[in-house]
Amino acid sequence: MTDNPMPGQNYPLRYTRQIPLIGEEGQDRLARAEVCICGAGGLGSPAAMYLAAAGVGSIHLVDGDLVEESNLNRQILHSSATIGLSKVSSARESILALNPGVRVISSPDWIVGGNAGALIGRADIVIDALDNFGARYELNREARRMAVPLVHGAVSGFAGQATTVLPRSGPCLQCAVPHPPPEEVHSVLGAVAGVIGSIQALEAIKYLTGLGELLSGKMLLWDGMRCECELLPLERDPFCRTCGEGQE
Amino acid sequence: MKIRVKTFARFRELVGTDLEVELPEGSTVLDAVTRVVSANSMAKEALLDENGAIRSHVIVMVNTRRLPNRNREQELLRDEDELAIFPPVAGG
Repeated sequence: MTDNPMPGQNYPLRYTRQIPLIGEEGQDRLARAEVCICGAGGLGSPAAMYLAAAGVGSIHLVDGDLVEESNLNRQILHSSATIGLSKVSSARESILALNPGVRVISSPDWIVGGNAGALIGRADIVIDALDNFGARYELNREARRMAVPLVHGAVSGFAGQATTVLPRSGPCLQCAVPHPPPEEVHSVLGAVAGVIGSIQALEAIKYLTGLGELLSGKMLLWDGMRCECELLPLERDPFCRTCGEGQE
Repeated sequence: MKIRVKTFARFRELVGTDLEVELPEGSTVLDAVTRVVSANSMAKEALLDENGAIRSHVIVMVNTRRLPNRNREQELLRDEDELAIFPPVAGG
């Protein structure tokens, strides 16, 4: 053993290509972290897989749904063999197959009736990989109350958006999207969800390791049809129903 | 007066982008949006509700400043303003 071992020498080989980027301290921070991923669908799939691959210590998956064949164009946590299983069970299998060192916590629950706070639990950061704004606003409210950052993502068609909500500064999710887009059955290509879910995973990794600049105070809009992005500046809404004078 | 209208993603597919729109002096944001969708029923449905108001979830910016929903439709436009219209999405 030398006095100055190569960075990452004492870590599993699976992390050797990223430790030069995030450092041993960054790798340790990921290992100590718990990420709560709400939604194990199109966005939750790439987010969970990349966070597991990166070595996040604990991944808490929240989803009350069962795997259906129609999910399989985009929900890469699941497979033909897991149709009919709960999504959190199916996802757990995939995550542990990729990285058995991850602790997977499974909650086969929907976010309803004020349970979001209990589901966030001890998480260091929350990934909003949900498919409706009713549940998103609940998650936003509780994450803010518990001072836990929230990484929002959403997709439809060839387009998607993402923003990171820091609880002690900047606009909340309801400031960013004060009125939900209409409910509809969203057609989406898996690769589109893959782009936005991967951005969400990267936001979480940057937050946990303290690297880079977060998508806070701005919303990334991504148009996959043309491969173009816009960064919209966001501001706190003084009348916001979650964090402003309009609080309910 | 002439304004430029920029759209994104689904709205772009419906009406195009970097549109130059000629409007009478004193025209508002709602006048401009109504003009942009006037020839396209799908765009009209996507951007305006049954009362002809801009759908509440649509993000509207003028010269890169986001307009809060309160009174945004009555915001007066000036020559060479840039109006940007963005569609947030909800799926996951």
